[in-house]
Amino acid sequence: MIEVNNVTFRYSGEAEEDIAPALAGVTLRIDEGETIALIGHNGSGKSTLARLLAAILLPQQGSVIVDGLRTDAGGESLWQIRQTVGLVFQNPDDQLVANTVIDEIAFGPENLGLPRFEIEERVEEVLDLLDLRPHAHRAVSDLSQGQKQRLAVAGVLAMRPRYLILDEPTTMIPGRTAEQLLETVRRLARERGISVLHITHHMHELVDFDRVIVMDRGRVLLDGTPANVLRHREELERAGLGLPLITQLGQRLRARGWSQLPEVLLTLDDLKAALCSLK
Amino acid sequence: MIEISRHISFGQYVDNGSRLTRLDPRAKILCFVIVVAAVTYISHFASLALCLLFCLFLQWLSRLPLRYVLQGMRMFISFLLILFAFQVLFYTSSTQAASTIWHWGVLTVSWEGIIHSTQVDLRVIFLYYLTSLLMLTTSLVDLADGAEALLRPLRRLGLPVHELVMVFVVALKFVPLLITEVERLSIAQATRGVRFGRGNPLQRIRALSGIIVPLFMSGLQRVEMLSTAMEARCYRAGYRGWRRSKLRALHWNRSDSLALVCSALLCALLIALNLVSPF
Repeated sequence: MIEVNNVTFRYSGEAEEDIAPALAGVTLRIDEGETIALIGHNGSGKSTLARLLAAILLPQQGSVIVDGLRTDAGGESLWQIRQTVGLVFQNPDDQLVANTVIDEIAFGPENLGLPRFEIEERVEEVLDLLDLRPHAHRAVSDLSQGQKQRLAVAGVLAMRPRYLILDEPTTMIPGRTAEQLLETVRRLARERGISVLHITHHMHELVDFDRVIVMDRGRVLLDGTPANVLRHREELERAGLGLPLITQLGQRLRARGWSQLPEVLLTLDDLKAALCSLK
Repeated sequence: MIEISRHISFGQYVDNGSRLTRLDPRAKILCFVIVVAAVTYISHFASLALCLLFCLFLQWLSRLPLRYVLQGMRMFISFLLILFAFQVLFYTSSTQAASTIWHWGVLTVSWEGIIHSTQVDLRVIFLYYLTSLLMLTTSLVDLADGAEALLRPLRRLGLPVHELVMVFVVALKFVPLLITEVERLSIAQATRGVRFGRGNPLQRIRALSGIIVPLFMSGLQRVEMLSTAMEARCYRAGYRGWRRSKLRALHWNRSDSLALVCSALLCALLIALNLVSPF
């Protein structure tokens, strides 16, 4: 479990009175196996929160506790936390160190000082999980952006984290590839009990997650299931976020007299089912 | 200027399973150092011709398309041709007068100047080719492992060998990334009407500053992101008691010894030929 207790964080150089902190008094809890979409406009504090959870940044006020270890405790626990919480960056080119696929996947396990046979086992495992086996011996520079993003996820998964944070991984890849990546991640979460925190500003991506956290100006604005969060249309619009197209369509139909339709529709299948059930 | 990456292969790696690719990285680095030392020493055309034969042999061993390698050297050779013109025009020696072809003010063209400049530039081309070939046939991780193994004795003197090698390897990784970045910036500037090849020298320098300044900025940002990403995957440079394990063990085979002996023989032959040959 990850506990974020009343965390405030400012980047150095920010004048305390003039500029609002990147995070202000954030409190939340992430349980094992949960899949969460963290959504918010640019500058809402999503990436700062991700870095605090992965112990890349340390809170200036409050605490972040990962499986009982405080991120600001220092020493060996810092590295234990970084092993437990895997962070995938927005741009894979910022993250990929080695120049072949296999070497890139092995980079993390090598840093953990694992024996060779275990590194091999982990590399083989994630090559299959992320469908990267056909590219195993290719140069990273020859991969497409979508393949690079899968490789970035593979490199983190090879460290066998219990929590996987994806910092806007779908921003730089086309829609279909992004859907496939998210589907793979959700499958892994189901099969392996990994908690997933997916950071995004694409509203349509949040519907398949267990829980949605909406951030605005460094604070948690909404926290709940996708259906519950999408009921707060006005708050979302104030935070610069619109409803997904299907939800908007459902609400327009309701406004035009189709009042038997549910208040919040999440997917096209939901809409089809709702329309079919009408007499 | 705009399509630079098509003309530079430096820093890329091609895993084609060739004999050169399969050699132990320690052997490759040692052979490289020996041959580079010899090429730096030689100056006569007879030894340069032998060097050319050796490079052709390496090209055959590498199984890389000659066109790909030459295309990667195109920009470098263009730069070298400009340098050649300056070398010839400003060449001075006490015996130059006898072979002067053309003279105007401080500018002189002489046979001696042409021959000397050709010899110098051929050596530079060979050095660039050998370095490119080492990179094209060795993955960054292998290069780092090999260099670290060879420099290991220096650890006793307190030198942070692993960290130094990693800095070198990361710097090499950034070569193709920075080339792509220059390309992106060139396109961005060209679409705003900037013409790099036009105007007086001051205007040209001003046009280039539109690339160089953002290139430095993005380079620094990328370095920061990469170091954060490496730390997030438990890379602990300089951390006492930390030791990385390796996916691949280095194996020294008979072919590696043979390559080393051949390189030493070639080195001796090049130097001997240079001593006895009049040209």
